[in-house]
Amino acid sequence: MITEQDIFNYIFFRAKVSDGKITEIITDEQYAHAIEFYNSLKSETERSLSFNEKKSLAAKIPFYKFSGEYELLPFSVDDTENGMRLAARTKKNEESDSAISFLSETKELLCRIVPTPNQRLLYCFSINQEELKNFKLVLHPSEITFDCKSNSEPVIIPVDLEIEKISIEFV
Amino acid sequence: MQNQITTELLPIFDLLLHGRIGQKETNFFVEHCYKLALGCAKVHLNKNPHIYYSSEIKAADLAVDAVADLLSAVSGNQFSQILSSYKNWQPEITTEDEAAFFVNSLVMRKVNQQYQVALSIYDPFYAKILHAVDHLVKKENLVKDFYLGGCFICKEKIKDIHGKFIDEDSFASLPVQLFKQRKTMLQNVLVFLEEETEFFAAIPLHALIQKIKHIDLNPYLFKEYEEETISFSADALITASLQKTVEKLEQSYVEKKKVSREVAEIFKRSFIEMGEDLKDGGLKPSLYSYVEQVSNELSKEEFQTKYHNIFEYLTKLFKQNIAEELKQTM
Repeated sequence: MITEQDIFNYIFFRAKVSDGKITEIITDEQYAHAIEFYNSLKSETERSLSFNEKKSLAAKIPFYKFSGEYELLPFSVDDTENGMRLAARTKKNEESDSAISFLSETKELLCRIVPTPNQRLLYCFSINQEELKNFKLVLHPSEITFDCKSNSEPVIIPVDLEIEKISIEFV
Repeated sequence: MQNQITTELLPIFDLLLHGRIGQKETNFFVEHCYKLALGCAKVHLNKNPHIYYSSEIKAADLAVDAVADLLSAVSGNQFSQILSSYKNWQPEITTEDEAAFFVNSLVMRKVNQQYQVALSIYDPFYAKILHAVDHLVKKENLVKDFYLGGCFICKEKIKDIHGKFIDEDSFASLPVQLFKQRKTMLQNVLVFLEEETEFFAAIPLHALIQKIKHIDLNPYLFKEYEEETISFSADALITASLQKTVEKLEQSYVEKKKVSREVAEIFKRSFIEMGEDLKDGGLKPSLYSYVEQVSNELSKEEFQTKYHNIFEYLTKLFKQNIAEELKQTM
């Protein structure tokens, strides 16, 4: 006798299902749809929520707190402890060797400052490649602030500005 | 990553029961429920692509609404619904997998509820038929139960799975005769599924409603089975509602010269197209698509700048009128 919970467990808690039941679930075609259903649910549960999804939840569920504030500190590309691999879009740029990167503690957000001959460009990225919308960017210690509608374009920053930390706040 | 999503659920329930849940656990719990809801909502919407909730983004809205409803505060306690169900759940929850399956079941039910709300909003006939079916379920001593997030009508709660559940397409092709007699319709279908097919004896609720709707909306069948089906004349309801909407258009806009006679004619023809879509399940997301369908004299730009608000208001009124007409027939 196979129940829905057996199929649920087969996907999420396989050790809880007996060998006999596993064989039955795998071999009987009538359970294929249920397996597909719970596999798709499992995929959903294993991903990280986007900023927009978190904002939507916070808007409807008062006790779900999403501050939307992130602090990004400098990190080295060679910093293997972070387990980060940078996208190499800026590598073509001759100046990219002197680029500086900032990473949020949650490792969700990355800022990359790329110098060009006349200016410096600040790019913001989400690690899950989501488009970032409507956020405030603050450069420290100068406290220079930019209101950004999207991260699709870089922010142009003064060439000599010292930057120790970057704050991003979603509004 | 294996099992990561569920390993924290049983301790969370322990914290909830003792009123000691922190923000981190709360956020985890909300996000976990949302992810399950989203997965389930996508399955529902894939089966019904012609209503407003058709894209992934809209599935996210449905999922958020479902979780917000699940966690809506009762007597100031936002977890009271969950805790009440948790305490009453049988068999008693003692392990991680049981806690995870419990949360999964609860979320699936809420998604189904929100899906019904969405269908009722966008399809005025849906609520009417659902109400009638619910009445029949009670009268026939049948039960509604859930499987893979879908709601089914059965003779008793689903304990084990012995046979495939009928899919929506197969259900749509069941013989019309089974649905002729209102009083015995559900029993007829259950017996047919059990004896004449290899499917599990369970009626998918949404597919049943669509089937009833299409039978009733077929004028020939409607006349023939008028006395015995869960019947109402959709055409008559839409005609009456359309008439009221057109009266409003005439009085408030044409007579006051806010809308020209020519544009009013385009609006009227658009509402007729809209009525046809409502009978079939729901409206298209773009209002201009109805205008475009009946005339090429009104450009999208002109419609958006001059008439969109009026048309949107009249569309809302049209649906409200249908809902009012339906109430009177219940």
